[in-house]
Amino acid sequence: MIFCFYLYLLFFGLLLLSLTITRHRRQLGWEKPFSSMVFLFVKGAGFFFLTASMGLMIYQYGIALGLVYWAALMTLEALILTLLLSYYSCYVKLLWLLAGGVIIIYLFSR
Amino acid sequence: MANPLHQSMSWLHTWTGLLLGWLLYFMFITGTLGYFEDEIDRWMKPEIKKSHQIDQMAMFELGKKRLQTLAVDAQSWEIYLPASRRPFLTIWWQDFPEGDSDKRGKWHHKILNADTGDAIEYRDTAGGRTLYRMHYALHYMPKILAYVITSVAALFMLIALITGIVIHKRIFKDFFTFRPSKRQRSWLDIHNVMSVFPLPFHLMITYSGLIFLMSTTMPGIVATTYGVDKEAQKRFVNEVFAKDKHPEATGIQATNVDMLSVISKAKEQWGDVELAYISIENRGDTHAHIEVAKSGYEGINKPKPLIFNGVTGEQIGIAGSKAEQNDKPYAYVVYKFFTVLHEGLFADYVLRWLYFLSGLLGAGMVATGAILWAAKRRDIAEKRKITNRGLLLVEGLNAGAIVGIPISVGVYFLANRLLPVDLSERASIEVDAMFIALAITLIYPFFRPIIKAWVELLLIAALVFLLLPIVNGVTTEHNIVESIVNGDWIMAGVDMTFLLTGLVCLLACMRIKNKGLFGKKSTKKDRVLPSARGEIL
Repeated sequence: MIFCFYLYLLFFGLLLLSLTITRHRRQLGWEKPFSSMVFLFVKGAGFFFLTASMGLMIYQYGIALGLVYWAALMTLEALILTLLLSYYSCYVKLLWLLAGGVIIIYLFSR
Repeated sequence: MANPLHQSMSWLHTWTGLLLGWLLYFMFITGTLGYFEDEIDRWMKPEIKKSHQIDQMAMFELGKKRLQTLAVDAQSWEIYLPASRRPFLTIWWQDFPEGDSDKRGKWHHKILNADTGDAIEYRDTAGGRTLYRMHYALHYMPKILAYVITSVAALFMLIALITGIVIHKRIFKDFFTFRPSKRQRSWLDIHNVMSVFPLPFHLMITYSGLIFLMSTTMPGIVATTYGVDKEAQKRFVNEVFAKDKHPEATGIQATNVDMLSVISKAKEQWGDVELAYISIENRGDTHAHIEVAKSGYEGINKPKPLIFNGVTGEQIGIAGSKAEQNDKPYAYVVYKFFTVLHEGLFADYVLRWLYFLSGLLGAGMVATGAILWAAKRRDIAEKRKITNRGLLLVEGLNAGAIVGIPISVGVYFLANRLLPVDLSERASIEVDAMFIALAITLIYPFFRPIIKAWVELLLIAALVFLLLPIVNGVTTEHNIVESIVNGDWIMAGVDMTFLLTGLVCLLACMRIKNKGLFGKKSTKKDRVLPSARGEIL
């Protein structure tokens, strides 16, 4: 269960980072560019979630195994996100909501 | 645009990537399969059945009983209990040294039926180990030559990776980008995707691969301290890697303590854990000692086995190499860290599949790179209406190697099932079958139009991999449904992976048949090549 949470956290971070790239922002439904404040916020949040998932995995598995897990999962999730963006960008919006929802539910259920 | 550093790096990237590309692809494929070495090994020994016995101590008793009938006069015994990835109950025993006491005695082993304790006779097979060894020791050649070749390939790989990072200008902007059906653009995108996402893996695997073979690539460093004579390497290995010298046998007879009591002592320390093996050395001697090891890993390190005195049953210490026990030299720590990461023995099934995925992406990276090389030159050749012999060679080798190597691996598995079980030299014939298949697939594209060669080879690959589970079901009693029902997940997992591979090959085959390697016929707009934007080449 906690593992799924890490997965979502990592995916959410990658998703936010993809939003800072014009092409993918359009694919995800934002035609207009973000204002610089929003841009910074999205980028910062993206990196925050990536770092947070890394930190949590290191905390759980120890430094070496945690980093291995993190890098390996990032490979997988970035690949999935890329394929989703290329072929099914309409569904990414759904996933985005799902990812956000799971994090919120998790945080509130603690 | 014409940045000289960028240009020279591009050149280096192109040629270091291409020159040994097919060998690197072979190394990536066989090495990646190595992550499932044990599972493949199990698949290749279908005579072994999944046991229903789950009590480790009962299995230990069976192993001991079998050793007492088979190896009463052996110097040492080892009993490997089924644990995690290795589902076999295996016994090993070592004869007393014959005459000349310097030479160690011969080791024997048997795999036992964990329900009855009977030894299982299984077919002579090269197994997963041979396949995995090919990624650094190749085959049909002396080890040292193979090490030189694979080290050079790894060095080229490392250069290609680093130059690749330098010349990839839009590494962040294009991070998540894959644009399908855009001819060469798509190939470059997927090449980037396959290189950038697993970049930590690629760098680690290539660098650690080089470190593994350091005594081949950098013999001078060992030679400065240990000399250049024949024994130099041995002295170096003894000093750094050698395990603690086990106490030699005294030759005085003594009654040994019961192994079960030692196991319970180990379990007092560890709790009720799954054990990996129990061994006893110098049986019946005053210097007998017993080792107990638990299965699993602590982080990325293997837990050290406990060692007990075989006469009194007292704990002597914890096993491990000298360098590990004394103050660890930094070089040793770095070496150990990278090699442990490379082997990934610590990985559980989730991480193991991720390792597998990263390895496949590595193979894909090499393959797409080689395809891109050919695609660029094909465009130029067509524009200028010239025949480029080098291009034809690369195109042929691309089709032959990229599809042929998976086919040859499939043929290796087919040979395991189809060759008569009592054939002599069976194991080496399996390997021969693999390389004959590879030779044929490498030559094949030179006699066919290139797209046809891709389509036909992919169709053959699909047939081979789709046939494998069927052949397995027909020639052995492990048909895929039964394996799943019996919970024999290793057998079923390998079969399902074959099916999946076959389906992917079939899809690729249909796609190339309908649309060619580069999607639709090019329009003028698509003709703006990546090279025009100063990216690669």
